[in-house]
Amino acid sequence: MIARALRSLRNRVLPRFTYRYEPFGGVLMFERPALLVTGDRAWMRSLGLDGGARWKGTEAEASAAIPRMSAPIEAHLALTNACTAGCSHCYQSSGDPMPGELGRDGMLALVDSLADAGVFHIALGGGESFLLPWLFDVADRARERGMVPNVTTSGLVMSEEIARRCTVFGRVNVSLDGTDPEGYGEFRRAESFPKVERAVAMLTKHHKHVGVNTVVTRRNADHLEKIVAWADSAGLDEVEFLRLKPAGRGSDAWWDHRPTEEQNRALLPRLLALRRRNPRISLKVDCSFAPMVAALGTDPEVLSFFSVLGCEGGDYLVGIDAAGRAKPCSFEHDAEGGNKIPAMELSTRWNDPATFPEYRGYSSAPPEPCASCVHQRVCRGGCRVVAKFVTGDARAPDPECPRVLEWRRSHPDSPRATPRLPILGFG
Amino acid sequence: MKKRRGLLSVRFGFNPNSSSLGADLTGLLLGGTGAMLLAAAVSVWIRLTARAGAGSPHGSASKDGDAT
Repeated sequence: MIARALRSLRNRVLPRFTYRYEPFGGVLMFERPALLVTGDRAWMRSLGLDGGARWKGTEAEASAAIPRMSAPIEAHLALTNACTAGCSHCYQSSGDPMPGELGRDGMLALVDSLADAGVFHIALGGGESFLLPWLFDVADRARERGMVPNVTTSGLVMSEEIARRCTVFGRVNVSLDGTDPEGYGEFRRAESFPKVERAVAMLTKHHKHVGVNTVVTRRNADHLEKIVAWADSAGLDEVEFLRLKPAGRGSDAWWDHRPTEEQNRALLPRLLALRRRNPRISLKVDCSFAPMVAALGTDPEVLSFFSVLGCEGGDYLVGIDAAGRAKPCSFEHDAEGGNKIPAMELSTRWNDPATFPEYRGYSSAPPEPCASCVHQRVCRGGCRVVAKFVTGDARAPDPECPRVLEWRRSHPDSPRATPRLPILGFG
Repeated sequence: MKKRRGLLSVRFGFNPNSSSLGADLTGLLLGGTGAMLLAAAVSVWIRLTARAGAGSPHGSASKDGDAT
């Protein structure tokens, strides 16, 4: 018994990790605590790990390589397009299953291929993946193959039995944009709010790591403290704030519901103040908020160290739809050619220069004002999906970036200042 | 803060969101000095963990490299 207690103590203090070599060095994954670490070659060697043949060429060449990663670190997997929530801002336009969905066996094969490629984390979603009787088969297979499955749900089909089985996931988040039926109902059916409250209560009973995903809108941006207070009182440990994307049904909602320029500028100070006041709750922002975070002038090296980065589509992450098509980002629906490839071919096509060309390599030749921005290397021009929707060009700077807006005001005659689509209501 | 060498980055938590990638903002409260101290502490901790033999290759992507 003493030996077992000592082993348990050792595993807590010195937990197990897995690692993957990269041309620049390597990546380490811990589950408890949940942590991903990257290090250069010398640092990996100091751990007794040598990449051998994978470390050909110089580190400088490896750091400048596109893509930087030899395979995705994280895969976003939409298991189905079926969903009963009917959210008016849904980026997938979910409702009915999409033609050609892979189904259980196809998804299990896909999970195997992602494991073979070296993927560490899988984020499962949809649609509403809890509608699928085989959701836990996929999660179990990911575990068997050494990956950590995580999931987001509307919470509308949660039950005690399902909640109990959710311990297979590293984290479960529930989508929620307001803390009362009225706020919740900005995009969803207000009458569903009590169901979501019940789902959260069931999940927190069985899982330590439950949070909410909140889309920041013009309506809730000035009241984010309500969301955080609600999460705290519900026993949650995380709120992840997401930027509204003009994708799927969100394209129609975007113009009227996106935060104002002032709200975007105030976002980071507001969240940091909230974090100081709420030490129990982790606050996250998604990658598309990088321009708003950078606008506060935080040291780019600090942002890089804490992985507060802009678009990671087609490099750190890959999005895969329910029909098994891999795209650089799940929000990308108009992908053509090399921007949309069969997910089962990811391993062989990942390093092909023709793969995901619209998303990769923004930093190698960015247009102004990104070219002269000290944050460009970490911000990476912001969100490609927003840029493409507003300007028609996925390689344009993020049109909602505070610095881009300032630059456009001072350069009214620049071609980049005249997007192909009209910009309405900024500020 | 100078350009990093050694331990390059940390990312805390899991990302359950199947559409974008979340980053924890807590570290930004620490600033550059805090990041350097954290990097040193995490580095020592991981070195001890690695010496205890707690690391193993992840998937087939690591099969070309060997622990020394």
